[in-house]
Amino acid sequence: MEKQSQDKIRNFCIIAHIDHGKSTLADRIIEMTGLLTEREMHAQVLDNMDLERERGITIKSQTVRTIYKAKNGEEYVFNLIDTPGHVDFNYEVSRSLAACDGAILVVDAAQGIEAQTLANVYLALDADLEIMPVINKIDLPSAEPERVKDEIEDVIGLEAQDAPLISAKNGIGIEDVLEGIVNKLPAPKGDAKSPLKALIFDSLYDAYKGVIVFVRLMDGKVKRGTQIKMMATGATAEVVEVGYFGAGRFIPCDELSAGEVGYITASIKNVKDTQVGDTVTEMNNPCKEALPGYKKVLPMVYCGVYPADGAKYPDLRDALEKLNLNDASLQYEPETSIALGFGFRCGFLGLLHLEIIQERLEREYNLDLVTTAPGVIYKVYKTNGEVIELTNPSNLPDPSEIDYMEEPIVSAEIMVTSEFIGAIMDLCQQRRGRYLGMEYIEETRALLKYELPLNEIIYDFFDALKSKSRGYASFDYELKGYEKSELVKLDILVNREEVDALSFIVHKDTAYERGRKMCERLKDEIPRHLFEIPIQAAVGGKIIARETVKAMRKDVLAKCYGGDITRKKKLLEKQKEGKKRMRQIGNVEIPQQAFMSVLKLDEDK
Amino acid sequence: MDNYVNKNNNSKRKLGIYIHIPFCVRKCYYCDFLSFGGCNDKFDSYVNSLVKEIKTEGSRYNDSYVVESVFIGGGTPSILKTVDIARILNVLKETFEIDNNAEISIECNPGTVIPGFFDKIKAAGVNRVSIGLQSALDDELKLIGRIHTYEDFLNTYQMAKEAGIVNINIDLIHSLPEQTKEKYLQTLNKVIELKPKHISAYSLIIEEGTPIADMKYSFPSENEDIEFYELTERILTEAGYNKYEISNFALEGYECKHNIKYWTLDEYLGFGLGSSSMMIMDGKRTRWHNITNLDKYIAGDYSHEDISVIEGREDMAEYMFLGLRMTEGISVDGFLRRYGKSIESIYGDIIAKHTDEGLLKTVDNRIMLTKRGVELSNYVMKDFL
Repeated sequence: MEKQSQDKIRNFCIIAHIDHGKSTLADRIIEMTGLLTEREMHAQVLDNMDLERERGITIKSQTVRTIYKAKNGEEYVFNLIDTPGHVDFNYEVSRSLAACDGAILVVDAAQGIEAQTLANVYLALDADLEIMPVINKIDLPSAEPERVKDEIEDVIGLEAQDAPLISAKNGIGIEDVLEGIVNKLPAPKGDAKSPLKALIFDSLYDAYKGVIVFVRLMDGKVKRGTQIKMMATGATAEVVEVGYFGAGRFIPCDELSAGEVGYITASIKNVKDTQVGDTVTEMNNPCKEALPGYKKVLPMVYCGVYPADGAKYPDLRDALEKLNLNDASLQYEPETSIALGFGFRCGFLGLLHLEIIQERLEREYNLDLVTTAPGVIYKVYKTNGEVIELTNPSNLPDPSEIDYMEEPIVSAEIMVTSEFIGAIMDLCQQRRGRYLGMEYIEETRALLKYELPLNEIIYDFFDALKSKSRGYASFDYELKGYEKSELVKLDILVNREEVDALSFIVHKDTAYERGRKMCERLKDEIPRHLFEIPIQAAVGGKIIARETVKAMRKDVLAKCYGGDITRKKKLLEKQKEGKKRMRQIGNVEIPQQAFMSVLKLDEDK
Repeated sequence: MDNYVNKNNNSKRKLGIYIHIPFCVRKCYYCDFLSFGGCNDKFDSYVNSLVKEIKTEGSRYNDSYVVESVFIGGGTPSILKTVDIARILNVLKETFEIDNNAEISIECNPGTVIPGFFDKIKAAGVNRVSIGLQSALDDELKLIGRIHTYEDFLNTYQMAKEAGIVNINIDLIHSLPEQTKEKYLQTLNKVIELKPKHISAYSLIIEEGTPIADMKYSFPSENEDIEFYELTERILTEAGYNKYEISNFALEGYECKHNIKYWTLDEYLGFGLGSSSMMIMDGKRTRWHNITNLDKYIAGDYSHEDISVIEGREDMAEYMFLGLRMTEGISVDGFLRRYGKSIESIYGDIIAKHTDEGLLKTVDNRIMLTKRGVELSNYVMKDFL
């Protein structure tokens, strides 16, 4: 492919609140730039993982290079850098943005600005991006493009009067967007003669090519044979191949130079050596300083992951290893539970990340899993001066050894229409939120600012928020820091035996409530046995709640229908099957789903 | 061939035959059997097809078997004309060798029987009648969608007796909607007053998808259900009945031969829509059922569905869980003879566990459920699967 001069390159991304049409617009841009026929188009080219398509969100960022012949007769190279659309992946978002020079801001013509719209705009502004607003879904009956334009100008302060009015779904107004990219978004500026300086904004593991590093070249050049070095991790390697991103394909080329976006493969075995945000430079001719903003991604949410069938432990280990090749933010280490046997304590960026990994393990690796209640990292300050970062409640030291504990706090912004403000404030109050303030975006919508303990939002906060606002509230948060908190470990005793996998850490004011609900939930989950089973919640050895599973009195099928033995057998087999999914704790069999029941404590029965 | 096969004196294998009549005047609210209400126009063509099936399919087996029991069930077999019932039995006699002492049963719904019915079917060979009473209280009968009253039943019962049918079974269902212990006791007392030779007493199972599952009645609790079960056992035992199976009671010598075949893994062959069979083919127990599409069956499609061969551990499991339904339980020696392995070596742990729990006992080299074990029979039986 011919070399492009920098002024014919546009590196940009699309930012939007979830469901405002980011992926659909991306598809249209790819389609209209003509590199793909319609037949080649999947429903959504960018979201190429099944899971992503099902959930309608982008997890792993994808990037596409297309060629656009503009109305001025010139051909432009578009590098469309996709960004993940969820708060769990905020850091990835910020690095993807750093690889761009401009951004298209998609706003839904009916819904207007939402919490993630703002969060993403702030990130884009932080990254010094030129932002071009686009009003999408103008074909909806409820579309109010003029109102939304005003909102963008008032709330964000972006010029929006000539924002393209489009329907990505129906292909309306896409050409205005393409011309806008050429005319409104800036070309990259970089010096091809300076030492190599490239930003890693993503990486993935490919069984054939090994680790593939996604880079944006700020300065310099890179080609096959270049000796490179990652400035943060210190890893070095020799480049094997460089190239561009076709839609779903890698297209090798001779060289990448300043301003361009592409990939590098090298003799790198582990994605951990190619951390997102790190700077790639030339080993023998390094750039003076690394690009700013690199940070190591740290998991925020932890839980125990166990194979339902103990014999599958090695399979689970292999699966985690493989997933980890592609997802450096997933952390795991072996642990043992008395109740669940051998498994792993895994760290995730957030609850969505946890769910995605869990689903991938189950789907792609065919594993049946038991996961324990997710928790956050607590800091335990011991009386002897030692500080423990606690990820597994079972490892909490004896209370006599604890001086105090700290828990992570997030700053949260919730956008909500005025009629639901009361309900949402109640919810935040219940979740130990600290009210910071409220801004009216427009007459009927407000932005609520709260500080909330992370452990109050990882379970089901998002669901509760949606249900209390009939789906209208949107939510974004970032980690603020740690604060001292009165936390206790809530233990669950089944038939007077403590079940380690059911313990969790709660604030002391909510311990009773949670303990009571947990007992109620378990009472429903644990089947009747031949004997009575007490289920107790305890804090520091003191019982705070109790329920009883009554003894089984009768379990007889008093009719066997004629010669239809199979029918009776099926019923028995069903019971037997249920039994297989049980865990034996002492002489009590606990269904595996009971271990996940803590997750649903706030669901109304 | 192997030792699974029972042989009688003339070295022929013993067989039970089941005939399914999938028609009813109207379906009861709790029923999820294969039956259709109000299909009177199809009776003739169905019987024609049934007769054809017995002739063609039956001829594959007839040489090697002697029939010990015939059971015409449904549905409501008594909905058919007596000539049709006679025709079915005649074709059976023409096709199979039927033992002189064979038990030939038919199920009857009291709402369908007219005078003369029993005389005619008795003449055709029927010697056992099973009458579906379910409850002796009219309000209960109405709630579950039965088409008859208690008085209808009494008439039917008297007609059967007057026709000289000695061996009569009465079917009961307890744990009905709005049922109390007192009400159920009334039913039991009325029934034992009649002194039928056999009583089946089942617990109502609410099947998903049946009308009763959507009805807003108050159903007896689990505890009441147990009380009903215990009450049945007490009243009927006191009245001289012998509980020989979980839900079946009989006066001495009147145990249902046909049903016992199911529990003891004997061979049975089904004719008619959806009927199940279990036959030993090439030395292996093989089970299947006929197709369940009425029109296809009438058109002469006798194909088998869900064919499965039961051998090894699966065969043992069935031997155990079906055998345990019988009050006399499982013979330790019988197991050894059948499988060449001791029951201890296969199920020792499970038997020990449930014996410790007081659910199984071993008496005279037979393993059986205790009283508590019967109440928890599913819990015990599933461990043998």
